[in-house]
Amino acid sequence: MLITITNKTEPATNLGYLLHKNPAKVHRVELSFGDAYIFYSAATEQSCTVCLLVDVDPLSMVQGRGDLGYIEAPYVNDRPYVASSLLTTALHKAFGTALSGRCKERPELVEQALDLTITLPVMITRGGYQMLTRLFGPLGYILDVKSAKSDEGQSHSHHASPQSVTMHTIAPIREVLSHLSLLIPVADHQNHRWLEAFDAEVMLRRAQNWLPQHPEARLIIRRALKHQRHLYKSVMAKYPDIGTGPDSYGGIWDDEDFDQAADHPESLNQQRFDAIGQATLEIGGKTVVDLGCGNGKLIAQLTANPNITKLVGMDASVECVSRAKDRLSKAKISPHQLSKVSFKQGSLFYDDPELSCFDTALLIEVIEHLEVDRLPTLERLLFGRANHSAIIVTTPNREYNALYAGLGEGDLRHSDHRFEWSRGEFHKWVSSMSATYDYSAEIRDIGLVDPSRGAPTQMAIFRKNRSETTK
Amino acid sequence: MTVLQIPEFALVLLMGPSGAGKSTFGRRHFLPSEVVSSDHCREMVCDDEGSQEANVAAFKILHMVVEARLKLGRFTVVDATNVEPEARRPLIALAKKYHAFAVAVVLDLPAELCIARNDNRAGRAQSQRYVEKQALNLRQSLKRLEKDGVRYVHIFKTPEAIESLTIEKQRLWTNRRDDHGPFDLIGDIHGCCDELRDLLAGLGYCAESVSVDTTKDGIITEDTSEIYRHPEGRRVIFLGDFVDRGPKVLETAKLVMNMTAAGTALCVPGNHEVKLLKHLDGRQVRVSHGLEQSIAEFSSAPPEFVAQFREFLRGLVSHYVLDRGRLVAAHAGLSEELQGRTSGVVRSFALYGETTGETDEFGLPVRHPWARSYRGKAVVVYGHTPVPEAEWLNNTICVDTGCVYGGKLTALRWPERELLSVPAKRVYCEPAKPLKMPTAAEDQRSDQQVADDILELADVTGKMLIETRLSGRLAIKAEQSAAALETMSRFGVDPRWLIYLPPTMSPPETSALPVLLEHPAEAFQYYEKRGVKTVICEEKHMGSRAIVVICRDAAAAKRRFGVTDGSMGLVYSRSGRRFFKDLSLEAELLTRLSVAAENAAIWAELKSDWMVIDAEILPWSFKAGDLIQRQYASVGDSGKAMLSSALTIIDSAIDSATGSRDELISLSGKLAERLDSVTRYCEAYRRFVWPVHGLTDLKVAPFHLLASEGSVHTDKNHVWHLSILKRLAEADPAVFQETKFRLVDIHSADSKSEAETWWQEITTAGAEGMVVKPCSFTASQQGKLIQPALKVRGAEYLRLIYGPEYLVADNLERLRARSLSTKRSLAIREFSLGLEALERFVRREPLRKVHECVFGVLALESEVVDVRL
Repeated sequence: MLITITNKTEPATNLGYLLHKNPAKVHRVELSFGDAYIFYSAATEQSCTVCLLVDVDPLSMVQGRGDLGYIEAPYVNDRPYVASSLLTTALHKAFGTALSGRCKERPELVEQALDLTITLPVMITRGGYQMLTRLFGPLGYILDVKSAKSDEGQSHSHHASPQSVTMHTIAPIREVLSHLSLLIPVADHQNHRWLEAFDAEVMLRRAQNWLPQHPEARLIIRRALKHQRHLYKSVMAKYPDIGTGPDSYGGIWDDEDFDQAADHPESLNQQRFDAIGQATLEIGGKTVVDLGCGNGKLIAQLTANPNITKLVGMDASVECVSRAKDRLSKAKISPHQLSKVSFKQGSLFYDDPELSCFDTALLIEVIEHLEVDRLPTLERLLFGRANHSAIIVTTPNREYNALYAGLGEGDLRHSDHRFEWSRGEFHKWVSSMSATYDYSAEIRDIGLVDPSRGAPTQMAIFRKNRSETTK
Repeated sequence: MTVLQIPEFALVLLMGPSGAGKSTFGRRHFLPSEVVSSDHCREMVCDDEGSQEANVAAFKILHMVVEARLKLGRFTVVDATNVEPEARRPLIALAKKYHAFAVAVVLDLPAELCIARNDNRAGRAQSQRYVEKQALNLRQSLKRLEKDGVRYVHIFKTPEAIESLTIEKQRLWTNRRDDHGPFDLIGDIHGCCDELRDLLAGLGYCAESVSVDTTKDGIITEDTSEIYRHPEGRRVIFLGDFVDRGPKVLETAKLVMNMTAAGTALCVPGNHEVKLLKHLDGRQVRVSHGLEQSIAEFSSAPPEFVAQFREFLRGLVSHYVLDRGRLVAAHAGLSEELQGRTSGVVRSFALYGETTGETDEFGLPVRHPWARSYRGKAVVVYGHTPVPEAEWLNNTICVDTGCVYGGKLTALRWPERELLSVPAKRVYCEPAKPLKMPTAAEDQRSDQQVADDILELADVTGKMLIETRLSGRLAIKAEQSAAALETMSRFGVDPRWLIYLPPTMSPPETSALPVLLEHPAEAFQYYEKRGVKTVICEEKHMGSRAIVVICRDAAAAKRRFGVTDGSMGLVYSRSGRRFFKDLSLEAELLTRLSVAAENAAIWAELKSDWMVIDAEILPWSFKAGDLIQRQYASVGDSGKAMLSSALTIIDSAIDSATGSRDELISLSGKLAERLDSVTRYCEAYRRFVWPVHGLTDLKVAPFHLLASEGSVHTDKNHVWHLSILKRLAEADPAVFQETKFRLVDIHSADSKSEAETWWQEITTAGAEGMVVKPCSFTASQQGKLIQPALKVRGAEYLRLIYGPEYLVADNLERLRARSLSTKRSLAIREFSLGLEALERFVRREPLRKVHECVFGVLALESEVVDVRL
């Protein structure tokens, strides 16, 4: 990977003093993942360009050498070429003194605003050009972004593709290095570094002069912390004034998950939970199973319902099950409430007698993740065999998608959605289930209802028909 | 010497006061593991076998052990005083629960003797009063033992009687495990003697007339009686219900009885025989369900015959367990936990089946479909319920095909598992309900197909053990099955289509040549070392692996796969995921494949209307387009952009440099070399990328024809596979592509070097590489399977695997050390499981049995191996 910084404030060669690197020499710095070379491609009074070339050893990426140790990283990897947190490490190693604002020979230069042009021949940014301007724009950079792709091959807009970035600013070198070392990894599409290495405190201390005022401070911190909510919360608790600007990316945790990134993300999810909680109360059962419980958020909420004596969360993913257990054990839930809850790995396509005969079975935002041709098996098991008294199913309403700005024609809300049903399709399915398996069904809207497109989420509540005599 | 006979499956209660010698008795006559002793249980929990304080815990353990043993069908002896009814009750209940005979062996010695013995026992001095009380309890118990449910009581009153005893385990009547047949099992005959004779003749039995002396009215007359005997010693098993309803009850009864007596047949009773016997015994029975026919015929039969016949019926055993426990014959079937056991419950199940207690609209008892949930290893052959066709369901088969109702009389040949039927000559009796009950919901699929709609979680969770023909028993770890459950649930196609998954494939050892990672020489060496004489080198297409399960048409799909959505096949990836997003494209491909197979006369040659094909579908970009854009292209683009800007900058630095240019020049050279690598890498993947607008932009290159009706084609060599599949490419070249190959004589240097040159040519021209396989489909060395295939990839292609710059400088050296053992072990296990799945499918085993193998492959694929191999 490569970065160049050109100074045009005369005498431009002052850059050499500031960076503690003699323009006449080629400097080499050893890094755990390769070597960094620092040299000057121009060094005149008018213009001085320093280059930091990191010669990444591609095998260090996959063989678990060095401090990176990502054996899980793909074997064909853009890391040797793309500006990333590795570049930050190199910047710190190469220009550590300048970053800390020291200059032995010319201390007066440290705070001097210089006419600087930075080039990064290859960046791959999650969020593209727009994200770069959100990150660097407020700090006074003027950006020139070009595609770094060779002309062959078709382009896909939704993929982050390599871009060549040129930035211009007038600022002290110390500040610029500080901006770059934080914002390059934040912009990068693969945020590799784990937190241990990218300590939150250190990050904030290094950026304390500018980050708190940055309008996207929260976004920057979240991305830098790899979206780990607990770390983010603890940082925010310590620095409550951080990011006072408009929080334009407000409250979004997983910006890959469109459903949550929609206009009123948290509120839709919450509204869904509320609607399910309400329906569960109406059904009035004592035992609830959440089929496809994910990380257990809904289960955690349902523990508040005192009528429920048994709550089981099932998910096909072992990881989800363990995360859900973890969430519940950490949540502020009394041991008594917790004792009602259990989780297990399971599947909607295999018969599991342990998960039959519940008062209420929940299938929340699950069916759209299943192939349509596999639904008959699920139906046979869930409606025909499991013998639940009530079943609640929620799924997106495809018609509503037109109201989401980020979705194109025919796009689904999540990359793993195999289908999304219109209201008509859902109705048809619900009545077919009721008729085939002897349930009565009621359909409700969840979320803000659009007069012509309906609500974002549709919910069906099935109740098993019991003959009068057995009641 | 007295011989005491005890049934081989029994719960023996040793009874007697403390000091009566129960433990000594137990030690002398039984295996140590057969005896569960209360003393020992006490000792286990508190180190003191005499401690009364440990009693509660000790007996809990005792009962637990007894239950576990009985459940497994093990002969068990309880060494405890057993003198109190409360102590015996739970044990007798356990015996009853598991259909074991409860047997009491009572050591009723005088109390004084017991007391004297106790006094001599160190640390075990029981109070005299205590022993006296036990003796009293014992004597009171003796009267009620049989009433309490003890089947046999043996009492011994003197030390001498006990001393002189030997015990013999008595084989159960049902146990004919050492009788290996072969057999012909015949379902409900109901007096259809003509059809029976035809069937026996058809099975190869020959009629013989045997003279027998019959006593009639006190005068001995010679009578001739017919029996049937098979020249190869096969024997018939009559599955009961040979009387009532039909036209020739008496004749049938005679034939069955005579053949059984002559040892050319075995017979189990049916409910009709039991009722007829009751009638013949003079007891009140309701004359219905065809009993009237039997009564009519028997009323004119000689009383001596009737007496003989009654004896015969009385001697019939409820069911038989035969042929090492692999075969169970019972009139109405038998669930697994009852097989080989004896009790009223067992007998009732074997005679009447399991009923729900309800009656249907025809007034017949509603039968519990026990076979639908049958999981036993033994094949259960039964009759009782007339069915239009004998059909396998979960290892069971009902061979009552309603002959008396105008259906047919059917026999199952064992161990061949073949069916033979003769049609009824006419309808002798109108059935209460029609034989064929059309059920709209189940689409007239077979019972097995309906049962297969539901797979059970318990079968695919936790540790799994799967028996394979090729590699014996394979274990799947719990975490592997958990991973597969997730994959299957999120991505898996309908398990009814998913009858095979391909194994992973290992590369050869790292090449000895300095500039390469892989070369054919090492693959040849591998097979040469393992005694393979001829290997085949097949061109390896760079696309995406696809398994094509295809039927001639949708009707065949419904018939054989039980799939009713109108599809005629399915194409899935090596992880069991549907290959095509665009279902119309899939349908188009399947139709063309079926037509091509028709035109190439493949369907006709295989005598099948379905087959499983292993293929590569090109281009790579069709399935992997997203991955190529996201990863491969972006790496190439980034690399080129970064390296060329770096070169430009270095060149200008060299121009403007005042000092050390040498280091810059050498850096520039290094970067130029890297840029060249990245450029070659881009060329390597671009060869596998082309746009697909329709089916003819795809190329399907099949290389294995894995299975079709009746066989898994692993018995044919790869030349057969490639030749028959080549006909598809000839029939429809726009879609299908042949796989080119070279045969190599492993002992001919010329032959090998020719193949190496071919590899060099095709990989230089951009092919991925080649696959080297033993020419025979499977090969083994000293009984152990060897790698079914090794892939030898081209140097340029490997840039996509090891990174653009893997050949640069010392990179290659560092990559040379590769550990292949895990990959190879997985390849063999997955190969065995995949073929086992097909074997089971071909043999029409229940879907869960096929599915567990496929699931096993998926589970093993979760194992972490170097993904570059």
